[in-house]
Amino acid sequence: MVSFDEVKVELVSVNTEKNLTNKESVAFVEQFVKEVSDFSSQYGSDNSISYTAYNIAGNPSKFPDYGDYPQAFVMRTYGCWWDVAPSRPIDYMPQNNGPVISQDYIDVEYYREVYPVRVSIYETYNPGSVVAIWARDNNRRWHQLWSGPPQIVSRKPRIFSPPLQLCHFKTKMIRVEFNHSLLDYYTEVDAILLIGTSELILPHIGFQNRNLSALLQELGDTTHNNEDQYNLTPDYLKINQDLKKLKNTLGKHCVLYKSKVMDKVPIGKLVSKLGMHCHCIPPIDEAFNSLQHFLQEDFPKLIHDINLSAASSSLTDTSPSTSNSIDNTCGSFSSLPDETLLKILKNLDLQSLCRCCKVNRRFNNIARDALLYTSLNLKPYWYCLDIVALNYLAPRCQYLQKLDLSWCGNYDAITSYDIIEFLNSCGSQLTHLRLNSCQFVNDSVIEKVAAVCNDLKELCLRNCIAITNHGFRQLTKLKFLERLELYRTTIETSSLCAILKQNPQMHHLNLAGCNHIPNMDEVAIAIANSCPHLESIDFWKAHSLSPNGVRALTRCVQLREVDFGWCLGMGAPGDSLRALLSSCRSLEKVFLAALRGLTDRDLEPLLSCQKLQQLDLLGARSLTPDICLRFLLCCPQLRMIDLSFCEAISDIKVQEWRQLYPHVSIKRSFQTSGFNFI
Amino acid sequence: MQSIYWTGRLLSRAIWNGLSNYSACAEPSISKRREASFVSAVCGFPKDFARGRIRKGQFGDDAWFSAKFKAVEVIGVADGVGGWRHYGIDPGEFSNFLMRTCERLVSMGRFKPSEPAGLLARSYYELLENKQPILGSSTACVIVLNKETSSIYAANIGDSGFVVVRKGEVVHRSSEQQHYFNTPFQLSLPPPGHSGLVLSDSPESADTSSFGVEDGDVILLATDGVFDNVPDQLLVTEMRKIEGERDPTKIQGVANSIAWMARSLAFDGAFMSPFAQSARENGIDALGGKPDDITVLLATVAI
Repeated sequence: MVSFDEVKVELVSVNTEKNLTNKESVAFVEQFVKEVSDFSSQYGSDNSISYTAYNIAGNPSKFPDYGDYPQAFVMRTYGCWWDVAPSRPIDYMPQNNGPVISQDYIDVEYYREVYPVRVSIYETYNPGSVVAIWARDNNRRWHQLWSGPPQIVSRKPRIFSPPLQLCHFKTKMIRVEFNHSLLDYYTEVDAILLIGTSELILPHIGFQNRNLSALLQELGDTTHNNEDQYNLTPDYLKINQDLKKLKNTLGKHCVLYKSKVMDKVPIGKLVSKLGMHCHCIPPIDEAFNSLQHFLQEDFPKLIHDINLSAASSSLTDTSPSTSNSIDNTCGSFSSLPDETLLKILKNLDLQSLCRCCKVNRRFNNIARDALLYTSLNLKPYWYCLDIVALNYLAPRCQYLQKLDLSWCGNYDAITSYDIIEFLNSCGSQLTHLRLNSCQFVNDSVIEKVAAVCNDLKELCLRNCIAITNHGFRQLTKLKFLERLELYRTTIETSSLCAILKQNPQMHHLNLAGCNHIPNMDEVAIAIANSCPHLESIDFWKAHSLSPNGVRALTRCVQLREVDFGWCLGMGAPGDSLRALLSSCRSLEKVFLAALRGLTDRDLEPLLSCQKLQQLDLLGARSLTPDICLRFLLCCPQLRMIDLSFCEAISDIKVQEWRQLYPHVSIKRSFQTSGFNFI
Repeated sequence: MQSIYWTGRLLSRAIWNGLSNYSACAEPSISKRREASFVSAVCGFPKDFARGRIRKGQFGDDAWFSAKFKAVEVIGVADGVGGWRHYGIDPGEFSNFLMRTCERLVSMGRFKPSEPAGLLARSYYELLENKQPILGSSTACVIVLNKETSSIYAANIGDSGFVVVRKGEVVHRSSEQQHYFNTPFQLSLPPPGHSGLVLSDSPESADTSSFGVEDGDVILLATDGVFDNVPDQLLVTEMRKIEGERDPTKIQGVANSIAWMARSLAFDGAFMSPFAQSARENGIDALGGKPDDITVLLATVAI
């Protein structure tokens, strides 16, 4: 039974000496997710409870069972397959991305505010994709608690608790980010446990930068797991033993941090900032020691290093400086023409560009040049992009053509009004605009987009659930759209058909999870009538699409990618699918998940699609091994085929094919022992 | 409400122990406000002990659940249609999934207490959202108790059902929904290619009813294995015994005896069962009980 009001509180005394009068104690609070505030994608449909984000709330329901269960949170994508498909989005400013790109996120809220000590993620299928954990404070600021690369770990249930950075504010909202690139199949997350304290606790002065996670690592089992190197709880049977030890010996290891500075000084911006960091400042006697330490050991080493590096750099510098005969001074930039400098600066990420502005007057002039700000990808800066940052950028964006604001400005960091102002001043030349998962996007923003950005070719509005049909109707003013993404929006049939009619150049259309369209066939007919150049279409979970709609699509002969996954209305496709697959000869990706009535005959025309790379046949009950083998033999480009829950195909056959055709990734998901709900 | 389930395996042991090991039940009358609540017990048998599964929430192809969310308590039963066994489909999977999903929906609060048919419908549509295709069909009946208003909302598809007894009289009962004799309404998900040949009723066609309850009311929620074999009069006589009863052990005892009665009458070849009577009315010369899976959910209302 799932219970939802689970908050465990344990009071732990800090002082070890029992005779002390002012006993201090701190509460350790363990809680599971109260509710899901936001997320970027989910496998299930909005009106369902299978594979949806809301399953992450409450206690774990399946852990430690391992398998593909509907009771967990599952995201839309895995592996590299969506990044190599024809519909893959192209990054506007890839240099902004850090070493790890976050592809999905989920924001969860808890019952009580705590200073986070541990975040444990219960992964019940294909673990290893968590790449970052953030905490949000009351002032809408996000603080990164952990980040790391995606991992390849063994396929078994895992509780992932990475070492957290010190967080000096109380939080009850956590964001977890995912990168699926190394995943073999969909990952599933059952629950997220937050362990925190009522007061900030810190290890004693002198302990490794006062890092609590390092202390926990020391207290925990020292058997270091190479495969699961970021995890403090690699063995879920021994979970939180280190915390138990810490609680028993809290006074020995930790002190309670009380912000004395904060209490006494009137609240000013600088002081409050200082107060937040003052625990990092060592007391004066320690400072004396560390200075002595520095002078005796580190300083000579530093001097030595500087000498060495100077020597080596002069060595490497000799050859180009002689050939170019340019003075090797820092002023060499001054001899370059502005155009060349711009060319160089164009490769910089936004953060470095802003730093360049501070070098000197010339750099300032050049680094603010509007030509450097023609394509902006602000998604990697979602955590700090607010109205101030936007206003800072606005004067430079006179020639802005491509803008990616995805994930930015949520929880009122940017309001609709701000973005309308921004579009007014910098939107007129926009050709590409991505606003995925932006909560500020509402009808008036869309109205502005339609009025100002007349040349828009690409518009991505995934998860923009605040737009109503009225807002969408405004988009009929756009005439040059080539890509339109409407995943999980509430667009309705009439406005979508009108938009399609106005945009004959449409190449990529994403209508996944649009469940406010009662008649998807009408949309399919509109596509066939007005968009002859369509290359990719995503109808994922379009329950109302029937064989009639599919038959209409046969006129889009340039289709390279189709996703009919979970279109339950075409469970028995009749001849429609056969007709579509025969007329579209350049198909590269065909997703037909959960079309239960799929037969060998429906798929036969696909065998002669020489470009076929990805094929999803999940849950097709009556497909025979025969047709699968023919796909493996006849399609030279085939790289991925999903045969999960195809009951007529045995596991043994799949094993055999994996050996015989190693160049094809054959997917086979499972639920252990049927639906054992106990 | 603390549910107790009782499987065939535990049967003999429980009888010898005099049911003393079920004393861990919650006291129902702790609540501060005068809110209605169920005190309930479950008993049942699979038709065939050799093949029947003994798993929590299931008796053979029957399945049941009880769950609560805030001020709402929900109980339900479902009876998987056995004919699917000929197609190599386990009928119990369908009914079990239906009930387990109802349980999840209730504990997640994703339902309207006043719309029990909606709960069944949502549960049914979750079947379609599962990656693993679950085929088959099932009858189902759910009862929702709104504790604050002391009212009950019920939905029924097919020949499972409920009876409410107050002061020795039947005050409410579900109406049986049949297409024709021995062919109840059913929610179904046929194998691909069989859609035209299989009876399939939409969850919206459920028979719904709502009524107020009073302290001491006895509610029997059971599958057709009970109603087809035990005559009404016998059921009412048994249910009278626990009117106003709040001791879960006593309720368990009556649930056990109803289940036992159904079980023994089902295998009595000479007994003119309700099923045989109904068969005769349809021109079929039949005698004796109807062996079937049996699930009895018995609850009293405590206010």
